[in-house]
Amino acid sequence: MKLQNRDPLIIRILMVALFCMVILRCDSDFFKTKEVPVITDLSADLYEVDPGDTVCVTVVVDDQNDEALQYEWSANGGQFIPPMNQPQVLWKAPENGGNYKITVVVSNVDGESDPCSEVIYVRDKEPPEILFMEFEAYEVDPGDTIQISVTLKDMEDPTLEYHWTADGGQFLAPANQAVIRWKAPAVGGEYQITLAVSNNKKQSEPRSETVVVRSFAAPYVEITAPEEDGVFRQYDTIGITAIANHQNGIESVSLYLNETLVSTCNGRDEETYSFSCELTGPEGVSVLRVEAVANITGIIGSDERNIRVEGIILGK
Amino acid sequence: MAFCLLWISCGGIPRDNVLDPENPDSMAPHKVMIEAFVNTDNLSMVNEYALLALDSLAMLYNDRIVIAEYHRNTAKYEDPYHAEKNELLYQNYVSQFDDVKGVPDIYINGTSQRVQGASSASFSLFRLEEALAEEILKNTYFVFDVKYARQGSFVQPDVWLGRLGTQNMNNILVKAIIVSHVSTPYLQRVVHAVVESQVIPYIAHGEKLKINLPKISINPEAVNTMIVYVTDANMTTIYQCSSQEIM
Repeated sequence: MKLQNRDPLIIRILMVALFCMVILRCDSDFFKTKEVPVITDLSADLYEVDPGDTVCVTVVVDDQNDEALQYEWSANGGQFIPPMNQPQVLWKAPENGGNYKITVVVSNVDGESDPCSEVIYVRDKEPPEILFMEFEAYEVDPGDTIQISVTLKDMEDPTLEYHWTADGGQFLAPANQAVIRWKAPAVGGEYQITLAVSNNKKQSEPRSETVVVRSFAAPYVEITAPEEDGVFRQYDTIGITAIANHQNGIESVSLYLNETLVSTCNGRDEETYSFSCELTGPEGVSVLRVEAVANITGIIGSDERNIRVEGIILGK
Repeated sequence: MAFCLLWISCGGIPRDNVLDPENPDSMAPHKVMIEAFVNTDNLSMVNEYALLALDSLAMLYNDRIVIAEYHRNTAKYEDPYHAEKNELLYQNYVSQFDDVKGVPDIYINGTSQRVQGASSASFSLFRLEEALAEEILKNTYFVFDVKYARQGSFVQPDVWLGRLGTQNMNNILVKAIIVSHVSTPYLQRVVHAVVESQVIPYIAHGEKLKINLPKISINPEAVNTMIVYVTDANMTTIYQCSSQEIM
């Protein structure tokens, strides 16, 4: 009986509960579970690049919700090229070589994914490589101006600096470029033109070429032995030494006795030339002449010594 | 002669004459002996140049020098005044230097100086004077007293040799030479004959020695001069010489 008295209350409670359930059922969100994005793949189109190269990085997300996703990209170097809030971004490698970690976190209204990273290796920057230098001329007159150009393996690097040097003459401005003009000095000789190219990290091995500036001066020649008016016995073989030099080098050096060629030798780096000569001429004053021919121009310089040959009649 | 007188008359008087053999400080001027090896080959004039230079030298230095001209054959020339004894002396001299043999080749005081070759009389004279410069200043510790006795076409040398200074001397020899002024103008001192003593093993300082020399022929058709000199036994150094015309 008591139970029967309580029936209407229980029924009323059940009915309220049923009503709430109906109300709550009408609101679908109420029954939704929270879904954060899950990164299923992160990849780059290149994993080993040079400084300044651009890498395309793509993230793939498993997202059960239809909500918009937010992409938060980060890296411990280099730069992302906007826009960045998207599953595929461009990352520009830094100038310093090394391993760089690119990380992405994807988020939606329910929260954010676990971070996901990939490592990109950035190679050290190579020094510029000089392929060849081209000279308008390799043999010039004093004061001539020639154009010199260089070809590098990579001419596009905007950080390139050209360091031209020479042991004579002068570069006409502007000189910090791949094609320059050099004015030969007034003094003949061999001049080295040297170029080193640097980027913002490294410098190339210097490359040198030689330009010959013609000298129209006569070679310097000095007979150092024998002395002027030296006395020798007829038929003796005597030694003659001479110094010969020229700004363009010496092509040949010759010894003459009384205008008769005795011997010739090729020019060499050393300045001293030695000859021997048998004094077969008549007694009296003889003239020794050493004649040097300059390289390139063929101009001749000479020096003479008078010697006295004391005649003898050879005995038994 | 003065030398003999000094020797004879020096008892009890101060021995301070530099020519006195018993004066320990004695010495004598070194008369320079010049021996020219030449010949008459005149294809080139080198011998003539040398002889002309010697003539000039003789005038310049008078009795301070003595000159003898030894003639010798050369490779392609037979000289009329060639003598085998000249040749031996030449080979001896030239062996002290190198092996280049040829005329003119002039030696001073033996092999003390040598002037070989000629290119002109004046330059030969210049070279000879240059070579002579040192020798002419030398003193020596030998003195000669030379006389001779003429015997037809020979002369008998009468030679005394005195040793000066404080040092004794070993192994020397004395030579006598007759030089003739033959007809050709520039052949004024052609060696005609040579004799020499035995090697003298020892001469003490202050001593005077009579030198035994054989008689020596002269050229009867020429003016002759007798030269005497003292040399080491190897005949490379001449210590003193003397000359006098044969009457």
